[in-house]
Amino acid sequence: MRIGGAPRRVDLGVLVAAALLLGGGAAYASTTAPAARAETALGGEVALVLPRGWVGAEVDGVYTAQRPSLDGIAPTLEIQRLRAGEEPPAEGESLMAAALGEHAHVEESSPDLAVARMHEARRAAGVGYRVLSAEDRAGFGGHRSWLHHYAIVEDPPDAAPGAAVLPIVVEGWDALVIVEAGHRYRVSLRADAAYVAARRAEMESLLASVQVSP
Amino acid sequence: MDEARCCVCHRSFPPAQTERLGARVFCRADHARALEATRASWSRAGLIETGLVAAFVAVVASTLGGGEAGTLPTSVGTGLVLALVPALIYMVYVYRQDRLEPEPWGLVLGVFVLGGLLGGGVATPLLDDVLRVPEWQHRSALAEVVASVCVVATVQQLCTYLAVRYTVYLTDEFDEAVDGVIYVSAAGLGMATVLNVQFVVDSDGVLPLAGATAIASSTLIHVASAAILGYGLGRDRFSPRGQPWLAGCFVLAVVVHGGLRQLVVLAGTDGATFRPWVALAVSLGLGASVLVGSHLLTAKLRRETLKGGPLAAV
Repeated sequence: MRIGGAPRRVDLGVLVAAALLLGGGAAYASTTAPAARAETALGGEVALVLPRGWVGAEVDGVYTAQRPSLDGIAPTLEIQRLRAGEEPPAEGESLMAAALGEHAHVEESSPDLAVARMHEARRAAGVGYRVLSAEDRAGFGGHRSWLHHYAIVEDPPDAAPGAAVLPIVVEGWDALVIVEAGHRYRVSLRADAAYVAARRAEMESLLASVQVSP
Repeated sequence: MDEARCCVCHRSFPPAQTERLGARVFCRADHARALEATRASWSRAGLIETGLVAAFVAVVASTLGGGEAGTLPTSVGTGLVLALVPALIYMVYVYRQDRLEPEPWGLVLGVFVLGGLLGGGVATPLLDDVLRVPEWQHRSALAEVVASVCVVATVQQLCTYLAVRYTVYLTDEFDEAVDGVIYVSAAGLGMATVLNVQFVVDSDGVLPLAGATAIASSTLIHVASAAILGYGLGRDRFSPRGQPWLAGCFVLAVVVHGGLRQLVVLAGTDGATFRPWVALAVSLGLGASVLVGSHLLTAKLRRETLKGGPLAAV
């Protein structure tokens, strides 16, 4: 076989056609992502600014915003108003069960106990739970809040128990916000640790935009 | 007495035992084969192979897809066998196009492998990790069409084009306009095979009927669009004004590839239900139509080549 006299030119027509098609497709794809926008939740008690690509909805008293993803754990923000006398989920109790109000009312406890129970609930969701930082500060609209930055290892969302799959390191923030008259709000933001590392500014900006005003 | 050398078998014959077509000299046997190769034939238009693929899906449905077993996914090994069968059938189609001066099978298989490598190693990562098509293609009906035609089909056709344009196209083996159809079809078939294997492995096995339908449809769509692109490449190689043909055939191949994918999805989906037989009928019907059209054009191309016009082989 010999390299013959075929022209070695660049086929400009093909390259231009491919560039136009791909460029047009990519440009259209960028317009399909939801734009950054301000939203309200929980009957107007909570205001926030969703980044580009995030979508939010409220179901059974829990506002959930996500950036849809086919990889691992989708970045997720949850905001729930805890009725007076309610506690954050107890140890071993799923966060969703708590959100649906499937636990009994208890007498209002101290914030420290509430925060401890929040820790326990998060710890039960995976292994290797670590508190990276903890703050007791004013936030989320000037209210007293306990903000914990944590990391934990969890199985991928659709993995069967015991499946031979690599677990995912999840990084997130859990906050208990106390407003006047004892109303409490749970704010939770979490994502794959790689996503947080790549988009930390977006995550921190989203968390900072949450304003509670009952 | 001067002897003339046949351009096909390269043996020398007395002039009285040779025939001429344009500027080319043939021995009588190869002259008869050359004339036959310029005639379109339904038996070589891809219809038989398409029928065999339909039969393959029917066999899978009646064996692996029967009873309760049909609702369970196959093993990965069985799925891989399913992924390879349509590829073998359409390699027969590629072989039967190459009537007059058969191409070296090592070269055809090499292009087949290269098409597969570009599909699995370049196209898939580009689509999934860079352009992130799975994240946005389902946001709207228009997004699905744009993703299928402008992005997925373009990337895959570009890889198929590259597998031939900067390899065998530059060699003396690419000495007929119809060689474009042969080599690009082989590259497209290689890409389809690798994509089907990825589909089986990523799904950890496939539902027999649905999986066989998806594999058969994907293979036919790749071969049909590759035949169009190969026609354009062949004209470009041997025509003084081949570049517009090549660009036009590239765009047409992209549109056919992406459009057929979308039509198969639309036809085979009824709400949340997948209708494999409808999807298969649409893909085989439309894909076979494209193959027949390509075959007719290729036969015409061969006639022009043998008359010694601008498309005569070098």
